[in-house]
Amino acid sequence: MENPIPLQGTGTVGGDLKNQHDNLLNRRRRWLQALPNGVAIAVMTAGSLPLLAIYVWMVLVSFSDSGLIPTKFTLDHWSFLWSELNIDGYVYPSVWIVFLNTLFIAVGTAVFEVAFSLMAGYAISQTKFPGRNFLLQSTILTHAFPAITGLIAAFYILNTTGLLNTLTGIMVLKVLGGIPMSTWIIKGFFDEVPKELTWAAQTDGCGKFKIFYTVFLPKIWPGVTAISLFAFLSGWGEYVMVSVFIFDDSINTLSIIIKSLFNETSSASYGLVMALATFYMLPCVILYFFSQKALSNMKM
Amino acid sequence: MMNDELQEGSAALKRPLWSKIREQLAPGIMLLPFMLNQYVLFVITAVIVILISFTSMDSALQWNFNGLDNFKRALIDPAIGLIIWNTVLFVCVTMFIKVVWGLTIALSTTYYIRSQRVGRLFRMIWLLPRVSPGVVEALLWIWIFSSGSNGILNLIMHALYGWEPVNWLDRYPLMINIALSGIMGSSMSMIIFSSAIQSIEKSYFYVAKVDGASEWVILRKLMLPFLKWPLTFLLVWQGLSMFTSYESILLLTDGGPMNRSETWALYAFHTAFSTLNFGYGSAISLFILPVVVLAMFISYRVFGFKKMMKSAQSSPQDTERKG
Repeated sequence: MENPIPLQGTGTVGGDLKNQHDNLLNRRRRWLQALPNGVAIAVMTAGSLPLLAIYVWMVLVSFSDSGLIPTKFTLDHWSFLWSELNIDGYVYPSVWIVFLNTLFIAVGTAVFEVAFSLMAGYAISQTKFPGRNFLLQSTILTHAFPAITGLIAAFYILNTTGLLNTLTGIMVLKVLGGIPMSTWIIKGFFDEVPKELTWAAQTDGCGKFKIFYTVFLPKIWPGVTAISLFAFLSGWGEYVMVSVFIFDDSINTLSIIIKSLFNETSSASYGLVMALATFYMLPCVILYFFSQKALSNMKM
Repeated sequence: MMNDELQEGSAALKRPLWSKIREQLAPGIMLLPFMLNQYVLFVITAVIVILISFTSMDSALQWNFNGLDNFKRALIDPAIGLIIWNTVLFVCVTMFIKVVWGLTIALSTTYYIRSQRVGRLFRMIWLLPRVSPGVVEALLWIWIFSSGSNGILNLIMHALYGWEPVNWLDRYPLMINIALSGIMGSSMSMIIFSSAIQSIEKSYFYVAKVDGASEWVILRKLMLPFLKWPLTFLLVWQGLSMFTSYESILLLTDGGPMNRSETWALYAFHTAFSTLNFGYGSAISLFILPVVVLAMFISYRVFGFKKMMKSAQSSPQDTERKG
């Protein structure tokens, strides 16, 4: 732009000619300002539609009986919810048992990870003790430790402790893996709580637990929501550990069953696989929408 | 008399000490699980995997030490050249896509699109990959690139140009993997960039507008300088996590065909858990460690601890340690 753009209203004192000129400038300015808006919307629409479409299509195909172009509504593919899942003559365990297995890992991970990180985050943030900084900084080491390296050791450890081939073993690993990061996040929320509030509550005669409930909990709630959601999602979506540490078909999770269905040799129809995938994704999407508000309050 | 005084004295001494201990007891107990995780379990994990790497341990889990054999073997492994090349390509191109596309989404939705609601809507769409399980992501991508005539890309190509079905995953295994990690992973960079842009003081934009700065100047001289730090972190942290990640490739092409989409971390995984060669697998995975530690050390020195963790905390899912 060659000329500085005049601010609105500065040019109205001049004659007709100047007014015309200003109108022209204004129009040009308005057009130039609207341009980035329009281009951005166009680019985002073009980029986002395929992504959205594929998720929507996934849901549509699961309800349609005619292959890839959804035409006729049917619930056939969802029959695994009330009858058995039978593919190529192989009867899978009831989907609700598999669902409960997955839920066990996800909820267990969320509950223990959040509980342990809350305790540690509170202690690190509110008390001073020698080695506090070092303890906090050690999270970086554990965080950066390559997952595959840990996985090999985990196999040996699980085998020694008798937790191999159990859902509990997977849950324990998920919790231990998640604690450092969650603690760090929640510690930041505890730090934000003003000291004056705690002092005021103390002078009012609040006990430790009451202080926690009335002073801290409302302030750290977005953080708790966020780490619970992340912990749940990481437990719910776990594939690698289950595929490696669980040999028993009866304690599979949804991720394993869906993975086993989408190799090319399986005769399972797209509709069935998509129905299972939709079923698998449903809790994630629901939780995500419910925690929207807390997540948007979270400073990252 | 003396005795009484002493007793009283010691009692007076004792009481504060006891209450001091009691005061420290609660935080101590609260810290226990975290400390146990950081100082005991993590150390045990690291020591065990290092020990295993000096053995020829297989599915029988016997400790047969064989010195440096595994490490020497990794260096002369015929597959290693291709795998290193794949890893470099995977990390660099994925990061490029993540940064460019993530930045595009962030700039568009937080600055260029005027309606806040529309911007938020687009951001919500791009958070979908972040909440969907890896298996579902892989399933959708296999559906797109499936070799059958039911694959979406084949369907489109047939409708548009009358092409015969192409086996896309066989033809471009690494490229499709890169696209998956890059595009689905850009929600991460979008979050980081968006919050960086949103934290820029609004008055800067007004001042720039009043001074008559063009959009191009605002982008280059005002916004990009604020994005320099987030970008650097993103490159280091996400680059590292790309380097050590293998799940998406495992699910999509499993490293094949013929190792053409095999990366270093995935090769360690395959060696350990497909051929059950734990000793050799650990050795391969340990080659990752110096790279990671070096990168961490440098970035720790350059950024400091707080900034480093800040950029990591928005990605607990992507980069978490798994054992």
